[in-house]
Amino acid sequence: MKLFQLALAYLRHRPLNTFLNVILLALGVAMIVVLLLFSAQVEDRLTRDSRGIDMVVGAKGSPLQLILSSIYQIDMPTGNISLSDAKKLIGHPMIKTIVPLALGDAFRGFRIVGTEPGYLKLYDAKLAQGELWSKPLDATLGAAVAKKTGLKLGDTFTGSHGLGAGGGEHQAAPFKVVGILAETGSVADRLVLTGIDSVWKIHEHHAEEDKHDEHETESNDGKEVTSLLIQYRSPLAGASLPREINSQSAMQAASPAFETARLLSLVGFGIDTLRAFAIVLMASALLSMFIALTNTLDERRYDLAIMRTLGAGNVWLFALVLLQGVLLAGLGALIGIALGHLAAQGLGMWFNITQQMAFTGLTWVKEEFWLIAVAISVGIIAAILPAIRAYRTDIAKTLAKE
Amino acid sequence: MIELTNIRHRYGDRVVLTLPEFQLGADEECLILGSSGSGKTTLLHVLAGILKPSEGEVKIGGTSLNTMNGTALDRFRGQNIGIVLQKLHLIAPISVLQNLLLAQTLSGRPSDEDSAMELLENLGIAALSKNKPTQLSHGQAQRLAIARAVINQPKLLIADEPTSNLDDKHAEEALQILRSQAHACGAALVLATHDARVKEHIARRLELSP
Repeated sequence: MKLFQLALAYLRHRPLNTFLNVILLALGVAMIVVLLLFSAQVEDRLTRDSRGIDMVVGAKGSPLQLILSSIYQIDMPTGNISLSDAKKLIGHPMIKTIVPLALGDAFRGFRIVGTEPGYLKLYDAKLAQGELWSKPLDATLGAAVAKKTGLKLGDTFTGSHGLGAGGGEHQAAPFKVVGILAETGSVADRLVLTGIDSVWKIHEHHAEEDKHDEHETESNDGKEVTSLLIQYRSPLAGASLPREINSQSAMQAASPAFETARLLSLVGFGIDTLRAFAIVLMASALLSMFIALTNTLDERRYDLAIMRTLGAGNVWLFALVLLQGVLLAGLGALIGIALGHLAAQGLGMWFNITQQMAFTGLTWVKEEFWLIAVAISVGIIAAILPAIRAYRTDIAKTLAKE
Repeated sequence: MIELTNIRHRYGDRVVLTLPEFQLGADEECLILGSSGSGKTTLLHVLAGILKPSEGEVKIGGTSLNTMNGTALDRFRGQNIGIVLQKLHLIAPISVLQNLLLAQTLSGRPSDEDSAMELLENLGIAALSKNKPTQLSHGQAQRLAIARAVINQPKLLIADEPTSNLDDKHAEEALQILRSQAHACGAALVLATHDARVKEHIARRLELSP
């Protein structure tokens, strides 16, 4: 009869009590697991999407909005900038590369982005099938777009006006799928990529129909882009170039690193609140375990005294009670982690439907090992006082009280 | 087997037990009689090595308990002294057999399922070995408590009021089992009782007075 077997037998003897304590701790652990997975994946995603982009130049407005719309493709753009303004930056000595973006349309909720092949280099995107766009109204689909819409090479589709689903359709200018990209795990998976001139063509057509735009389409004057993704030639550029653009032009420059950090601190507040809630849950699990162990100890005072008469040392009794706390906590931690991953996977499937972000419960973060250690410490802390009381059991006094 | 010399125990200023001399050999039996408050329980606890008397020496099997402490005393108790208390206190969450295996483990010996089953067989409760103690009748539970006290072949077997709350038939049976088991181990048997039915069987007695 091992110590471990006996400790387990005592826990199984009070199944409801044991279940309650385990589940209370498991809920706290599960919540923290979801938060850990979520923040790790959001952070990973945010940094991956903005890697290699030092600065975004676009219309004046909120710099965060500019970053969100141009890099992460989740917010509305701040507006457009004129092509002639944008062209002034070409050949700037501090700038290594410029990738222009033209936004405005979407296909079943996926954004149609007019850009140049340089955009693919930012995300190491490779073609899985077909080729890149070359003529106006050629489209190369991101991996997720192809998967979700079922479009194949040679298929045609029409974009709808506006960045959400359900705007008026550009029936007169259908796109043709010429290529499909391999999965990159970045924002590029969720985009329909085409040449900037395609976007211009659609909207020039659109404008003619609506008789809104009287500009000559051949000149630069009427043409607009939404934003420019810029790589510096040297990090030193960050000190002067944004200031130069912000003060001397109708455009604004925003730093992805700075805005991402700001965004994370905003999201971080919500995560901190949830984390505090999870810690309260774990603390109540600690308290409940402590009360349960103390109560059962009162019931088992005679059991403990009897074990002493049978030859058990007080260290053995101490270990017996402590082990029960550790078993409860270990079980709670394991169930909590399983529950957390399950919940994360469920949330991921739900997120996936809304197409905002891929989120999965099938990965691990190293903080989970810490979480197990913390949970087991909770068990030890809850059990230590009852264990000390067991250690101090006075056999003669306890037995004489019958 | 048992030698007590000049035992005196006090709670505070109150002397609860005075016993100048008491000896009991292997395979001998003795009753401890006395009204409540006469120090019966105190004497049993002294004999069992769970209470150190304020004065005097306790020797069991030639070993003085006075010099032992902590783990050594726990181990000695587990290996040499078997106790059946008035309330049986079987360990409820584990099976009948496991109660015996636990007693073996706690005495510091490896658990031996065969000898435990053999003992249950002898006491007629082998069929219940997988049951929980709460599923036993009072008579069966008492037999298990006795089995637990003798599983480690003690030199001294102590029972506190083993026949109270039992009808004549079961009282007789419990007494017989205690005597036969003590005899089988060659242990000295000490019974604290005020039951007239027990007194008929055992001649030697130690009368305590308050």
